Amino acid sequence: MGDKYMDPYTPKTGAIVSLSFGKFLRACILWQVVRFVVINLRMIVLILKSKH
Amino acid sequence: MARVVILGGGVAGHTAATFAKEWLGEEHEVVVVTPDGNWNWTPSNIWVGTGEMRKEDAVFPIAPVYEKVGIDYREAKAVSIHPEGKSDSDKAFVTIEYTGQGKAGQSEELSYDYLVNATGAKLDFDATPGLGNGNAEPGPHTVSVCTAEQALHASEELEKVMEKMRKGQKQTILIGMGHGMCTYQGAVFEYIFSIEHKLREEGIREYAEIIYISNESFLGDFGMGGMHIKMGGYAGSSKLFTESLYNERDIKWILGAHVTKVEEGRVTYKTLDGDTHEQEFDFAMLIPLFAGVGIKAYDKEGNDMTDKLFTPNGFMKVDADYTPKPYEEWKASDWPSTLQNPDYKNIFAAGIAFAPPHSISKPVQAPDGTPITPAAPRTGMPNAMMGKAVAASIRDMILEGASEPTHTANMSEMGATFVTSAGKDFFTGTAVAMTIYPIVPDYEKYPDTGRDINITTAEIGLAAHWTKHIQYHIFMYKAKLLPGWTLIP
Ligand SMILES: Cc1cc2nc3c(=O)[nH]c(=O)nc-3n(C[C@H](O)[C@H](O)[C@H](O)COP(=O)(O)OP(=O)(O)OC[C@H]3O[C@@H](n4cnc5c(N)ncnc54)[C@H](O)[C@@H]3O)c2cc1C
Repeated sequence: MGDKYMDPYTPKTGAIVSLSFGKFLRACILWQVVRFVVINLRMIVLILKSKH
Repeated sequence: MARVVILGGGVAGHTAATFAKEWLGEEHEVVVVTPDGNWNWTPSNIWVGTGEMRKEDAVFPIAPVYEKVGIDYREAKAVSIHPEGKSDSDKAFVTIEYTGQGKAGQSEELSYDYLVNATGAKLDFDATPGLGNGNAEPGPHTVSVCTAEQALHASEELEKVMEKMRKGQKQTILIGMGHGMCTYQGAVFEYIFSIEHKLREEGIREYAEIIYISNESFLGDFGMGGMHIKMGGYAGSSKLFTESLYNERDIKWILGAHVTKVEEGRVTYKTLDGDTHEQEFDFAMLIPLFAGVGIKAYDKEGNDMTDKLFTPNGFMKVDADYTPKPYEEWKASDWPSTLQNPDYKNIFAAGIAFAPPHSISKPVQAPDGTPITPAAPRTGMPNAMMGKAVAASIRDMILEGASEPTHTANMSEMGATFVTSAGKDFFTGTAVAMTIYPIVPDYEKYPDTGRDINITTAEIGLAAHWTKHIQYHIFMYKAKLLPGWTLIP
């Protein structure tokens, strides 16, 4: 966690901070294949809910 | 035989025209009037604007596609609508002015039985002094990525500041909203992250100060009043997620800003507290205000009745509730469903061209009354759905004799997806995928957050980036009407 996130009393203070494991998962191929399926299924649900 | 005339061949108009032709077949005529010879997949303009994609890969010529399916294509722009005909004829018509096909500058009257206005927006650069060139195009001080041509120019200008960074010179990059009532925060979000990513990949990030300037009153508003997404056992605001991404990439932000003047290397802007500030830049991409494209309307006697069909900023009136009311009284039901004009039942609007009843974000203003509020978002997916719904209603009116529109596309019952990528490489790029349902929050159906929390989500990673790549190929395939295109949602 870099100190740039921790400047107290600045607009940065309120934001959530991404941790190293989360950052690792963003580029982990196996996990991202799973997320790819999830994101696209979610989009299909959204499209189906939007049809009238 | 009925003639359906579609004005505008963008996302909404192209969808309306192609489905109308598919459903109506040879017996009926579908005519598309649009001034560009090329169809542009606008989301890819971000890649063009960072030099990651050739302009030619984001566009394709539309005439052969329309010829293949029997759509009558006029490379022209609509100038006026005459829904009652003229003194010697009751037949409704539009006046068009050719921009190509060897007839540039020539005018023609084109009669219609059904009319779809899908002309999108005029990019009103001149609404901000110094942002435009006086001809509704970007001026000399800033760039834009709204069209593929503009994006190509943006990439050339970006390359110039990158060249300076490679020589160790510090540069200030300013990206954002060029007016207090702009929309397209999602596209800007994507462009700023794409530039940041490119500079990092080139190893010159340390030489750039990157600043986002926006009319949003909080980061993550996106013109939708923000959204809540699941975070552990809580629903957290998109503000937290967005601020986190900006912090992580060390991008500064200026919020609640209305740009009042653009000069060489400097913008002047007013903030919600009423103060005036200046910001210097070496490279700036600022989105203009949107307005309707300025089509006029005339009655049978030739009297101007533009205000009957259009709102003062040029968008077409449809079945929305336009009664002015305070934010606290806004309801999902204010938003239009059938997109039919209330006065002329054979006229519809789809996509950006329809007049929204109000913004979605809470309207706020500076102490002198200057409104500084994002306009409602105008994303591609709902615009395409509007085009398809309008085409389906017209089909049923022609083929089944339906007296009322049979299909609806209401932004309070439709979702949107934004996939904002950074970089283009399949493995080193990244993206944020956001899904929002519904676009206009409905606090009666979803009392906690106004939206369905199970499909209102945001996440960053390679999977979102792959989705962006796939969307590009799928939607270009669909737009070219290649085999099986109707099966693609
Ligand atoms: C850089 C960028 C990135 C984007 N990324 C995304 C994204 O990732 N996802 C997403 O969902 N949306 C995205 N969008 C938004 C999306 O492009 C728009 O929602 C969509 O293009 C709007 O469709 P439309 O048909 O209403 O208007 P347009 O696509 O603008 O089409 C309007 C058409 O009308 C024509 N026209 C103009 N005047 C006349 C006239 N007088 N007569 C006849 N025709 C006329 C125009 O030439 C044009 O062809 C992005 C936009 C930009 C600029």
